Amino acid sequence: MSPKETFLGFITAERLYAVSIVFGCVTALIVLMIYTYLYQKKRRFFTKQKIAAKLDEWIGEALLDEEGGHTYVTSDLQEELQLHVNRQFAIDQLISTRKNLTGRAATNISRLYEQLDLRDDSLWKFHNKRWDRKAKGIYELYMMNQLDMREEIAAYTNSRNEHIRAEAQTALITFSGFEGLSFLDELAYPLTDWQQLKILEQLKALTPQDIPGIIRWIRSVNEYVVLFALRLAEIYYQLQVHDDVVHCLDHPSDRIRHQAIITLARLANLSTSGILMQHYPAETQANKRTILQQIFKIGGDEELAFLDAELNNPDDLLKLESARAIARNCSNGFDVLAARAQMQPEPYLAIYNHVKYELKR
Amino acid sequence: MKVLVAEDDSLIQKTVELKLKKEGFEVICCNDGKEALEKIEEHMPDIVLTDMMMPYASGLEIVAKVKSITSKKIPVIVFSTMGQENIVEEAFALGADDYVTKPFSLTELTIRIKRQLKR
Repeated sequence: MSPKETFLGFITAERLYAVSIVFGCVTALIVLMIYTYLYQKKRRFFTKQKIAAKLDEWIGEALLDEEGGHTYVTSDLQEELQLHVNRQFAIDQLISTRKNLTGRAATNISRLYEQLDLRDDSLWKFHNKRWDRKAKGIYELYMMNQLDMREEIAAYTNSRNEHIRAEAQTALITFSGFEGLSFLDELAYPLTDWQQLKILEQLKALTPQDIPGIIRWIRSVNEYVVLFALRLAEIYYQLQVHDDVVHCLDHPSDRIRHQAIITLARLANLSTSGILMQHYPAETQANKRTILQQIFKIGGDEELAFLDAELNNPDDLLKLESARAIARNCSNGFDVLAARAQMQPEPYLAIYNHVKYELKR
Repeated sequence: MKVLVAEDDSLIQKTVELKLKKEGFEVICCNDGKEALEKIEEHMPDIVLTDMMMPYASGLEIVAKVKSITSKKIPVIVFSTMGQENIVEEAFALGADDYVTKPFSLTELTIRIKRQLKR
């Protein structure tokens, strides 16, 4: 083959044609696939809209039913609800509405869910082995207030899978309020910060009350449970756990000791500042700061000597926290700081001015 | 009495619409903020119910629009959710007359509408 017919001795005209044809076919295939995908997506969207319009009208009317009796389902709608995708859409719509409505309408939502046998779909998911389906099933059942499922769902609050476990825990609180926290007795897995926040948010909507199991949870071997129990004690002012919280100040976990310091300050009595000062020397820098911040809230003239000594701490943040506590709690706090600033302007003058500006604002 | 409902959740919108129709109101529904802004001018409702978070225009824009109308005093009730207190505060600063926190009861909503209309 002459040099005119080849390029670098490899690309011949035949090879170029073959590659062009393959490339053309692949491109055509990709375009076809994209077109099919978009077409299906559009079709699904319009079908969904059609169903949504029908369902919204029907559900809307059913929700306003004052009698709470059996709602007539048109054959047209019944046919639509034969399809799994439409049934799931109906469940999602009911759940979303339940989040926004209370009163009679909310009760009617659960009634409709049962009447349309949508509960069977949720139960199928709940009994499925796939974790995502099981978690979704639990979610649907508690959102629809299926109280009879409480015991079965409770069995999953200590599940190995964190998503199933979290949904089951949320379900228990939804069903039983503070009593639902009983799952903490058995919990052997982590209770993530996110899940703790979710549970606290759920409890916020309920009337605060004594939490009988809290002492057991503070003594739990599961550090996550201890941490959460300390948070509960802080928020719900559980005075009965004061001594157990003091024990937590010797816990090997920094996070637990940190929370114990905060909780103890919330449950403070006359001895609290003394206990915190006693634990101060052995603490980490971060926890030392937390102790000073809590003394700022609960301290008085009795802590002046301790705080004054802490003004000499090499850590500037600890100096500042001590100065704040002195200025706020001690009767001649500002004089103490002013005297220190005069004696040694660097860094006490800046600290004095900072605290003065902050507290006298 | 004409009530304009601006809510992007279709089922909530439908439920509120049916409830208010049952109570004898004429209801104008809007699926987003832009549509609401247009329909307010077109229909001049007697009261406006608006969600705070909607596509194209927020509830705050709707409150501002309604309160800029000088030819008619139109009360506005805003739908908020827990944790949106600062937005509700902003809505009141713009002139909103009342608010309902989701989840809400339809009966409570109707009472609030009637009270605003009586004023």
